[in-house]
Amino acid sequence: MNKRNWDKFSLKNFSEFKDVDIDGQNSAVNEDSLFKFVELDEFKSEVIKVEPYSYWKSVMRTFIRKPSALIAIISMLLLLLAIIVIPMFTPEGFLDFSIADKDLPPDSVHLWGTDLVGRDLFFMTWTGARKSIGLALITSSLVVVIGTGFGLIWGFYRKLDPIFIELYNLIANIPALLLYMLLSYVLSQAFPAMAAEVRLIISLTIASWIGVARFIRNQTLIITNREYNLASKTLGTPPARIMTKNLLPYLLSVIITQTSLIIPGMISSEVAMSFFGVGLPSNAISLGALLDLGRQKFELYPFQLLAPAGVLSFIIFTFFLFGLALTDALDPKKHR
Amino acid sequence: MSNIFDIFRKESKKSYPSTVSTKDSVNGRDILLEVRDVDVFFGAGKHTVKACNSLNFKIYTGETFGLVGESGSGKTTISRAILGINKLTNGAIYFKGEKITGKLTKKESLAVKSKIQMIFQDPAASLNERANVDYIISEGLYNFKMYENTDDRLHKVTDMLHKVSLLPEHLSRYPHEFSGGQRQRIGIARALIIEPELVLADEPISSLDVSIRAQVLNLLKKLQRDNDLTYLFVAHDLSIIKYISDRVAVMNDGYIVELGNANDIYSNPIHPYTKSLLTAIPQPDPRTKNDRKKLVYNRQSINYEECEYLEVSDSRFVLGTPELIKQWTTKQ
Ligand SMILES: Nc1ncnc2c1ncn2[C@@H]1O[C@H](COP(=O)(O)OP(=O)(O)O)[C@@H](O)[C@H]1O
Ligand SMILES: [Mg+2]
Repeated sequence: MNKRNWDKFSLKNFSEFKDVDIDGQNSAVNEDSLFKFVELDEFKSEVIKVEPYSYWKSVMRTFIRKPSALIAIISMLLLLLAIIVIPMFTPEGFLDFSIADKDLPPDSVHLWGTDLVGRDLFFMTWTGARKSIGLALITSSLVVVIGTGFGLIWGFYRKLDPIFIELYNLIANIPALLLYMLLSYVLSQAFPAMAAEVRLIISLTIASWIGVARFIRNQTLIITNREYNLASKTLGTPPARIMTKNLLPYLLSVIITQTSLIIPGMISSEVAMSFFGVGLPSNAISLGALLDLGRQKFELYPFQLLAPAGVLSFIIFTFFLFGLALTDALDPKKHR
Repeated sequence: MSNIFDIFRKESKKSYPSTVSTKDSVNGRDILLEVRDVDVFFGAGKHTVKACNSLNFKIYTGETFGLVGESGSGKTTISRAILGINKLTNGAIYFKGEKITGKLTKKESLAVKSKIQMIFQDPAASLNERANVDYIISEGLYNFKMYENTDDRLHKVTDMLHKVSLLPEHLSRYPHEFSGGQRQRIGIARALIIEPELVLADEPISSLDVSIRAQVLNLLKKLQRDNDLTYLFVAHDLSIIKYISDRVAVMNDGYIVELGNANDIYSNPIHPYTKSLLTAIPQPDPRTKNDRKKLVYNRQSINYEECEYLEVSDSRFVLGTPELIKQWTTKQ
């Protein structure tokens, strides 16, 4: 298109434009009425119109939308309901030894039958589940808090690396069960009056915190060299505030993910320890103790083992499913 | 026999006084920052990266000192060395006549931090995504306890926000809600609120959208005027440097190859590397482009280790040998 053509084209357009009926009135259009000056407000262009993005709101939204998360939430609610409500309605004497009622099969009185000393298996199992989950929650919280604290320090102060690595090798190279047994034995000798529950919590915590610490240390190493941390250093921000304001918020999602995987691990550890006789005594009501008893007459009365084993599987499944769904929701890349 | 002594001379590190004069003996100007014989090497043995080699320059109070060179030439490394983030392999850096490299007490290093601040290249990476604007800008105020109470602090922060054309309602927002230009202005506010004297701006506009570069550059100029700031301005593009700086050091491969007044260097480049940088500047008028030949610099043609700094005219230094400089200035 040469220059003349272009002129014609734009002129034609202009005449068409003039014929347009604005506002329904056939008014003559001049340029002044078409354009008006606006004040340029330098600050107006800086206004952000979108709603503030909230990370945690998006986490909730993503979490609730997922079908697998829905299953996890429902089974978690059922589980919590069961361990809170069922033990409250235990009939008189159902958790007591009663040799006359031993080894009963399931019937309308004893829904899941009775164990080898005549206790009701349904109420025993759920009461035991409550204890096992309670212990696991306490231990997991301790492990995560201690592990995160030391992990941050370990990652932040490079000079401490050799000390922590030695400690890690020391703790991690002993098989877990052996370590629990050892710690539990030492504690029972040193503090004979200590409750078995407390001993269990302490020995599990001592054996497990360094794993979390190492995980947090690695995560910390990844983010400490990011530029925003350099910026804080050049501003002279003290280490404690760098850890709480710069590092911890970034680690929160991985910490939650870790915790959701540690809890079922702790339930298994409690069960294993009690099963091998270094956790809670066998007259205590916990899943581990019940499994230990149920094993003894498995051939004759398999239900004595299957009841606590089934509930344990359900618990572990629920926590894992919940943890995986949460991990997904915590990932900002999956937010919409 | 003399070889042995040579080795000794190389091995024994030169020692640097803990204080130096703040007046330039040649022109009498006030020196704010002095970089002396600075080497920064990373790694050891075969894999040593010599990021900075015998750097020498002075930054005078109130000026904008431009540092220009292609990426990888060591500009960020020397900026971070000034801040104490990168340790020096050799040499010393002085701020207001006091040595700020080597062993410093906590108090001394904090005092230096309150006077030298940095504006980072990538505003997306250099802001804490999990902190709101209020905390990000207040961070320095907290560290140096530069406020009386919360009201006073908020007053200072909103004041600073206004200076960088942001709004008080932004205080509760998080960095990712802002545009690139806005984020960079948050970064500028964070650095300037503690009233530093020297600001190291490490390619502050190169990661921004072209349309807003001028806006941020003008803001930096305005803030400099209003607050009597001295800038070390890093860029990989000579056109920006010419616009903003008074004096320029051209860096290539860890060496300063040419140093002098911005106008002189722009109008009369001597080192072939500077010439190649100049011809790389895009021309706004397409008709002039044809007249200019784009020079390609051959790094292999010069061995920097055999060169020295030669003063070709008043405070104009070029890295070379007398023969090379003669060749560069006569050849047309
Ligand atoms: N922390 C580090 N460790 C190892 N090498 C580095 C480090 N920082 C920078 N370098 C190297 O030093 C050289 C100069 O880098 P840099 O100062 O970032 O250049 P510029 O800022 O001019 O682009 C590059 O080769 C880079 O790879
Ligand atoms: Mg750089």
